[in-house]
Amino acid sequence: MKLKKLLALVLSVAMLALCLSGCGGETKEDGGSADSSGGGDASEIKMGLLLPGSANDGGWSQMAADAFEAAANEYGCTADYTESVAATDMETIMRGYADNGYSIIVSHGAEFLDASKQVAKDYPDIQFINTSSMNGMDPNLAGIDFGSAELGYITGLIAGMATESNKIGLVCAMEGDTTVLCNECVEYAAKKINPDIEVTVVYTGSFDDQLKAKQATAELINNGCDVIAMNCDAAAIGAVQQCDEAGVVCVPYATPMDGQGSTIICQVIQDAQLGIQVAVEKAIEGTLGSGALAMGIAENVVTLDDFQGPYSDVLTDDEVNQIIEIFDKVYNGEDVKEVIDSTF
Amino acid sequence: MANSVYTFIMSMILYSTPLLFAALGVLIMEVTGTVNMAAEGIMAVGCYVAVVASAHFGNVWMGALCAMLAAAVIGLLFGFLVIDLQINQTVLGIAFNLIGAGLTTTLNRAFKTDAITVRDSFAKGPFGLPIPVYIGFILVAVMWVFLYKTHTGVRYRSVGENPTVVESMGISVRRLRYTACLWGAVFVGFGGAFLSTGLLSKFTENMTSGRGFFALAAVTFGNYTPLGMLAGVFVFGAGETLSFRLQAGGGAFPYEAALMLPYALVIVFLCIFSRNVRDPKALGVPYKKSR
Repeated sequence: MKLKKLLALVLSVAMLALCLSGCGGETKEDGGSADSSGGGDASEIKMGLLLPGSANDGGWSQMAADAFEAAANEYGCTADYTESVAATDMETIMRGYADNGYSIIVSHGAEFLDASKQVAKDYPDIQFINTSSMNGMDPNLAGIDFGSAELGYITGLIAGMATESNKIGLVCAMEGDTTVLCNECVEYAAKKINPDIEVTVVYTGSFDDQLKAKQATAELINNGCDVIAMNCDAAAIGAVQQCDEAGVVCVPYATPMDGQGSTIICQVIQDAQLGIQVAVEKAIEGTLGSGALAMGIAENVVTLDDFQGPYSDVLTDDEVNQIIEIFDKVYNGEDVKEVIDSTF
Repeated sequence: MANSVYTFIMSMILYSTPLLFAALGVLIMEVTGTVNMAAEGIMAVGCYVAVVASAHFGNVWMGALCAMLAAAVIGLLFGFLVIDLQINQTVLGIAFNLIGAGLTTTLNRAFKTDAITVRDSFAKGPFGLPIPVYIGFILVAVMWVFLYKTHTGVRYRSVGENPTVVESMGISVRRLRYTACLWGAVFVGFGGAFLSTGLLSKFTENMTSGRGFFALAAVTFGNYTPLGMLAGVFVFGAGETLSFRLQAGGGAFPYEAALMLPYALVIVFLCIFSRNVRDPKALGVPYKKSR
């Protein structure tokens, strides 16, 4: 009996160790070369980051985690993050960071905005940043817009030119301010190409569940969509796979899907990593302030991948050149909507 | 219209298959009196091992076999802890889920498993559905015959109702529950393997997304019978397919309501049928052999 109790104890300790090693709520600390900037010593700054998903998702959350790591390396400050934060834990984790001396707290995604507002007003000396938010900022709460509108317009142009059935399907994870804005811009640009085009959005409710994204894509294809654009982080792999199996062209937007499928004709990539890195560096230097920090094509936060792959000939050379020309004009400072309106 | 119904049914069956295997695993364990809250964790391990082994051997069946072997080891460990050490089954199930998620996450990050793409796929049978889908249906029938038409099946069910009586007849309760844990885990592991290599071709963290828990709900919904369990799986599968079909139809159906549909359906059906549900009497009760 003693042996059994000892065995149970050993197994329990082993399980606990395994759980702690891999589960959510992981806190990772980064530190780099000691450096100081602005008036204070940057190496003494502590930054906290709240992620909606896994820091290894190959997309949205990983970009933020990588941006934090890069900033920590550059300034030598402390950067910790918490993964897969549930809605019920948002405020608690933010307050935990705030109470433990973290002076910059970044929440990654529009779903954190309400919690950020609640906590920010109780800690006026701490700089809060909420990514993907554009409105309603408090003095110590800044937002970052990663060029959601530009992302949508360019995706809409590509999808609008590629569709023959005049039905475009969008597979997204969750509805948020920036997602809605982006999707509205997709529809606007697509209808500029052809007013008869219909754009249908399906939300899967998950950034991780590949199968749901695949199933949603299959339903859109069943419904006649011949171009699918997907924006749901790691789960988008399932959507790309379904397009591959059905031989339907696809345009991943936001998260890159390099090498995931042969029917990808082009990708419009949202480099949240660069955007967050710029915002965090401004916060460290004390120049961020309040309001929304808007970035996009001109800042290389939204980039256009090459038109390639066996299905890329659905677009003619003239169409590809037209898209690239519009992209270049926006890169050089012109307003994307005005450029589209004047072109079509 | 007919084509729409056909595609709906095919989609529901195809995407419900991982859940069906997981529910088969949960069922065999629960009828023998062992609460299997660990299906989510075992499924996650099945997903991970299947991708690694399929890529290594270049064959999804080998991947599935390795996933089942890994799940079998976990099942035996689970059995040892609940049968011999008599640890609380619910608490242990939750611990195993955390271990499954933690272990696969750790291994994925250490070995960059999410970069692996499985190139092989399961052969397709009639109606274009992969062979494991048919195996799932056959297993439901086999499970029904086994539980209700064989002596061993009666012993399995009896041990979940009154293990003392079974032991008094000279039959080992321990052995029956161990074999149930072993087979249960194997089925759940195959469910994970089919998810990651049959329906998809890559591993991503948290890809089981609660399917292990829905397997448990399907078994309860089905009153611990194979056919009832199958109905439970299809209620959830139909709800999920419908949730995407309503959105893809382009109507004004709110997406929040659509996404809630499968869960709401399960709750509604559980409320309706819960009066008829009767848990095995010895479910979750550790058995101490009389001396």
